[in-house]
Amino acid sequence: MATHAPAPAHAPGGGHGGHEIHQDPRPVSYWWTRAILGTVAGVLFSFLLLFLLRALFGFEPLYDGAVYGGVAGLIGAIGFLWGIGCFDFWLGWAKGKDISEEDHSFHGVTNWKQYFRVNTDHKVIGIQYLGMTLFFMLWGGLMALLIRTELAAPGQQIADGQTYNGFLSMHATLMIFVFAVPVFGGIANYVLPIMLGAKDMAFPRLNALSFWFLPVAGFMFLASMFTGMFGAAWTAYPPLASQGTMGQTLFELGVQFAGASSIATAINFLATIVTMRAPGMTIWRMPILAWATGVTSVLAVFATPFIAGSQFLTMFDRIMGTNFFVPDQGGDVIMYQHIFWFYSHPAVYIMLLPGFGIISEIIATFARKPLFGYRAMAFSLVAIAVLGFGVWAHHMFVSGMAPWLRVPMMVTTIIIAVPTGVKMWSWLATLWQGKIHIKTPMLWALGFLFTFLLGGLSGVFLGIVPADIQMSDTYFVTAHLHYVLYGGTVFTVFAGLYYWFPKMTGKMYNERLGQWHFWLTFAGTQLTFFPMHWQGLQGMPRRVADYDPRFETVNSVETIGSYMLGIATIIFFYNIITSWKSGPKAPWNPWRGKTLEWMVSSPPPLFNFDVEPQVVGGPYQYGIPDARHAVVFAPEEFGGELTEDTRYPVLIIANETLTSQTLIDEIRSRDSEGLWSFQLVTPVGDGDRAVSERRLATTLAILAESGVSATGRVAEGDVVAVATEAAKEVAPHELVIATLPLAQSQWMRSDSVDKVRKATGVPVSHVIVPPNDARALLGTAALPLVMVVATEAVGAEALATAVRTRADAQPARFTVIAPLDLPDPRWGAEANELRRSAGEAMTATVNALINSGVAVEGEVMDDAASVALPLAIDAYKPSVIIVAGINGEAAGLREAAEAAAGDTPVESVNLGAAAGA
Amino acid sequence: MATTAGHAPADQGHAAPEKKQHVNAALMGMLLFIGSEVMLFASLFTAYFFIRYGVANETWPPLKQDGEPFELPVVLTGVNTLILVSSSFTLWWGEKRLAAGDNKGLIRGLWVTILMGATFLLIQLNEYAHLGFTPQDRAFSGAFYTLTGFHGAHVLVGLIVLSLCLRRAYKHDFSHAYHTPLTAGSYYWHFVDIVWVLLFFLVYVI
Amino acid sequence: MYKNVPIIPLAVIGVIIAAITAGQALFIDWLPPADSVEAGRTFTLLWFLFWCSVVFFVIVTSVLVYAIWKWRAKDDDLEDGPPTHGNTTLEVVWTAVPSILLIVVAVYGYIVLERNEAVAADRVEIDVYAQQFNWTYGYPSAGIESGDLMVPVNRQVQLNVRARDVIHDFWVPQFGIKGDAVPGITHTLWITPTKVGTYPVVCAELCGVGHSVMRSSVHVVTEQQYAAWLAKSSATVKTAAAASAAAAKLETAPGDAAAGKAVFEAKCSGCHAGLGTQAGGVGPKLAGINWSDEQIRTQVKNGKGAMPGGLVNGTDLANVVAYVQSIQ
Repeated sequence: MATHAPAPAHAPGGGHGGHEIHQDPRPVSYWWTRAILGTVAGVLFSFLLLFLLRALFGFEPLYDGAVYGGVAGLIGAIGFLWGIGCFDFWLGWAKGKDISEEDHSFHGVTNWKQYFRVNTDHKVIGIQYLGMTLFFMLWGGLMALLIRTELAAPGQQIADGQTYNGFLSMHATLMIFVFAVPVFGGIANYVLPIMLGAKDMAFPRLNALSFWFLPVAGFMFLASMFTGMFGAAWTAYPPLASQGTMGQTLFELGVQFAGASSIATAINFLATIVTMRAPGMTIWRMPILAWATGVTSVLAVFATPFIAGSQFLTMFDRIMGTNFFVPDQGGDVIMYQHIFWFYSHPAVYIMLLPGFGIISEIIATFARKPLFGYRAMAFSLVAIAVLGFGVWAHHMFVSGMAPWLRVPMMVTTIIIAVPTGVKMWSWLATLWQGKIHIKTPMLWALGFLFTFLLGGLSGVFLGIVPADIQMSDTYFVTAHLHYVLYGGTVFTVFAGLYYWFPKMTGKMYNERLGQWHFWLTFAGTQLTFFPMHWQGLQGMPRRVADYDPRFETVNSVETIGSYMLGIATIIFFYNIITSWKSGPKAPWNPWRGKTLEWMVSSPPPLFNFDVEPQVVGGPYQYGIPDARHAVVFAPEEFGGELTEDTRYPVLIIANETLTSQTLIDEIRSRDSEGLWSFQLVTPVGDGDRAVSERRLATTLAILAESGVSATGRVAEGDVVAVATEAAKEVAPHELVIATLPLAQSQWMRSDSVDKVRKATGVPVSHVIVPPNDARALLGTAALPLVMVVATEAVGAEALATAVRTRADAQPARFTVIAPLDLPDPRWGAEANELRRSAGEAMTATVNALINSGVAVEGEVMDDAASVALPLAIDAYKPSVIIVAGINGEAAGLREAAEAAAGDTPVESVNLGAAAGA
Repeated sequence: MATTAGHAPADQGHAAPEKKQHVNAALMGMLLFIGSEVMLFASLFTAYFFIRYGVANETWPPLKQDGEPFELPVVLTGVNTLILVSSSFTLWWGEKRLAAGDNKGLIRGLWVTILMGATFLLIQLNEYAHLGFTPQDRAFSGAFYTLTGFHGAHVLVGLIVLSLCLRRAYKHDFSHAYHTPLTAGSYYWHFVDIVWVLLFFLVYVI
Repeated sequence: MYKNVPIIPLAVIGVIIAAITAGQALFIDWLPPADSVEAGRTFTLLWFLFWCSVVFFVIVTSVLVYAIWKWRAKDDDLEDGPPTHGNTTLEVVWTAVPSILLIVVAVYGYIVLERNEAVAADRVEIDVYAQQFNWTYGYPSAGIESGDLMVPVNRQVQLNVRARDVIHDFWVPQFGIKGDAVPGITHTLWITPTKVGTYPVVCAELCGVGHSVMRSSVHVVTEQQYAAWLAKSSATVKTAAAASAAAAKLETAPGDAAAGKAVFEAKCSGCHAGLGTQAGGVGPKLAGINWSDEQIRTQVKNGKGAMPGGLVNGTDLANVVAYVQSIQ
């Protein structure tokens, strides 16, 4: 993956509103080593502890797999979290470390590996969440394909009953706990703080811990594949769940960690929304996604503990032998269902409401209209959440629970249809008379409207008790849940991912592939799940590996549909991976949105805003000329408003160090902050002007190729004078002087840097370039590589002149190749002499050229041209080959070059009769 | 936080900007966390009530496996309850002393609170040893141990939190102006206390 | 905003969508035949729900299709739409109308539920026992248990559903009635079958490895046939002692492999594939196990692991033993 935007520490005066960032220097491998050690230590510690306790208190047997497994799973996981670094800050605080200074050593990333480390930047955490949840989505999808493959025909295809139950349990568990619930945590983590005008979330370290709970949970679920997959479905009803083995314990523990992640993230979101909104952002000026996230977070905080409780109880029944669900001992089996569903119904709203928020954002932006009925939309979110706490028993209409409870639950269930309907109507009304632009995010939003509508309607069916009695536990429910989850979660997640992809990565995704992804998914969804309504009503129950042969056709069709969904998902991943690596650069606001995240760079700066933005209106002010939602300000030292075209000048003074990698990298990294334009001024002093001009031209060409806007000129005079005059003219924010080290730098010996500082009064940074670097061939493909092939001509002044001329005509990198036709013996005295003289001539030529400002390197090759040239061309991959000869002796060379060149153009240059250096 | 530089364009005619930052984020976070823990106990209480009033239990108090009725040491636990409730008062007193500028008073208050909390836990453990039934006995006993056990675990966490506050109090980290971690810790301790009172009443008394 | 509602185009689109929806509703057999009084009421309710849903579906999709068609903007059109923030009348209407409709639907559903569960004085009570992975039925009036569910037509049957191990679910799709079998409680269901015939009993709650094959049948017969069957079955189980002694004699007598094959097909082939000759089912292959008669009898009577005990007894057991020996 390409580098995330934020840059390493800068000299004083650099951007970030004054934040100095010193990244923690320990490599990612250090943290993972610690994490593995922590896990192992936790497991061993728990084994030891249990052994000692059991021996002490006389428990028989001394080793009980279930108990040991459960405790080791828990403590091992905590060991992992400690090792990866989640608790370091708090442990340090507990030990008395001074925490008065803000610690940003884990903020932002500078290379892709750091995504695998603890990070406190909400943008990084957001991407970590997305990466992790999409990974688990792939696993869950794989399980779905295995299920559908087994169901393609009656009878056993690929799995027996036990394995199949494992597939279906794993499918739902992964999809719900480590994909659908946390994925919105990822999207909102990235987008919400920026949308609110904040620099980060309220509790960045808690944010990091919340993320790391997730891989713990997901890999616990996946680990059950080695111990025997849990097979009681994601609902894990006892007594079936109490019969399970270690796999079931892993399920229970995993749910706890996933739940903890959810609760912690929710607390973070609520604190952020309440306390960190930008000035002027009343709650009625928040984008609807903020409302959705806030309401969802309330659900998560108050409902999730119930599933934790339910899993504790089944775990205790299994590993401790308690009797919560053993009727003979006073236990109550249905009690589990009440406790479980008290969370799991609000859970479905946790999986839906943020998606509703995303769709609201997208429809407003792509229909160029304010969101219809903003307040009703906000209230309906609240209503759905509140009512959502009162409907749980509609999952239990046939469970044998107290019969009197069914009718009140039916009433509350259908009441929820009203606010949900209000949202539907409002989205339609937003589209009405709009200016509808159908790009991929909008396609997903429209697809959501259709698909979720069908899911919602089938939900009304299921809400009526006598109808539910027929349809509960059948494929009708499977149809309903996949319509609302595919439509309400998957479609909205993809909508959000495509919508904010340019913001997150700074690149545009491929629109055509996005459309293919959508249509294939849309068609696949209808094909796979619509027929399920029929087969459920006709008598096919849920969670079966086998069925009555009259359902065969329908099942085969659905299996085909599911494969379509799989292919569509592959297209998605291909699109985002290739686009992130090499897609076209994205502007700040590709969708002309009004909310705050579109008013900063893509990707955003390290702390989002250098200065707190000011909110001046609602978030959907489309249709009103000059209406603004907010004003974002440039860094304090500049003042005024920050726009995409804002650029503050940086003056760069360099001569001999111009083509060095160090300087180029320095310029590139500053450019990634988005604030600077660069003026290069080259003081010639008493050097050769042409040389300096060549160097400057090469440097500007390389920078242009990387998309950096830079201009430059060569100036007569000594460095201090030139710098002073340029500073007066340009009024730069900062001045950068690049020199060689003290031993080689005349500027340094004459103390020029300090003099410039005093003379200009502008902050001056000094970049020291190692001498080899200043002479090194630039490793990028930024400039075309010209390969010059010569034998006798090497060492001749005419060759150097020819190369200089060529460099002046068009900046390029040069490689001089001299193939040697060595006599036998190849290491005899004559051959060695040939090598030595060729080497000397090459060195002389290359030095001369470097000193004239040409980027060049040379190689003497130990083979005749016919053998050497193919090797050289393969290694260097030049864009053009020039064969240089003296007085036509290069004909043989030219033939060899043409033979080896393939498509590369070959030119000839005749250097005349002059010979010798 | 930087102030706004440059000019701010005129408001579009909507309501005046709302003042924020009246809410302390850390305390809000602690209250929400306590809310989630309350719900965790609610789920365990739910289990307890199903078992108690459920179909499977016609007699109350239920009978142990050996046929004898369960007996809970109400009086002793009542005394224990008083200890825990008092510890909330000593903590509150300590905070008041800090507000008056008396850091030593805070330290004393924290010590007494911690010691009383530890006493509560020890009496609780002693009670476990002498109850005469195990969690595996009947559904009731499982629910009893789970409720009291989870509560005890929360008390333990509370003691750790208070000890960390004590350590910082020794370093004079708290003052009238700044004492957010202490306040957060005291919210947690009061929550632990209130849950116990409820538990004692619902499980032991009635 | 709604002065300019384009009635004609919307109506055209609406009619087309309605036609497609109604067409696939009417030309596909969505529901099984309603072979009980309860199913009759429930399925009528379902159709009512369906047509209400069609109305909403047509409205929403027509508006959606129309909006996309009419107001699609070109890529280079940078204009915004009109700044409409809301419309109170519209919002009231689209909140109130669905609410009213939902109330109607809920009341209708409540009435159906009450009627379906009204207990008749002349009902027949049958106990249903669910276990991993089969069904047993008890007839308290005759004091017998059987693997067959027999019910008289046109009379209310009260099923007292119980579970012996984990949660199962008793469902007959054509009767429109379903209920979980939960350990520790008795779940009561009421069904009034209206047509003679045999219907599948489907387990509809995940209960373990054999969930997919946990099937049984319910035979709806006339009153006379029912009474006759009850009498015959109870006559074969006189007293417990005599019954078990008689059963023991019956069980150890030489059996008829052909008759045993029929019993096997009814009671065992759900888990033992290929009538015991193939592997790959829930239970293992029986051909080639080379057990003694006594071992087979013990296994069937006591069960083991996932195999429940007591599935077959009496003469049936002797016949099954003979059959299993015949396929070695």
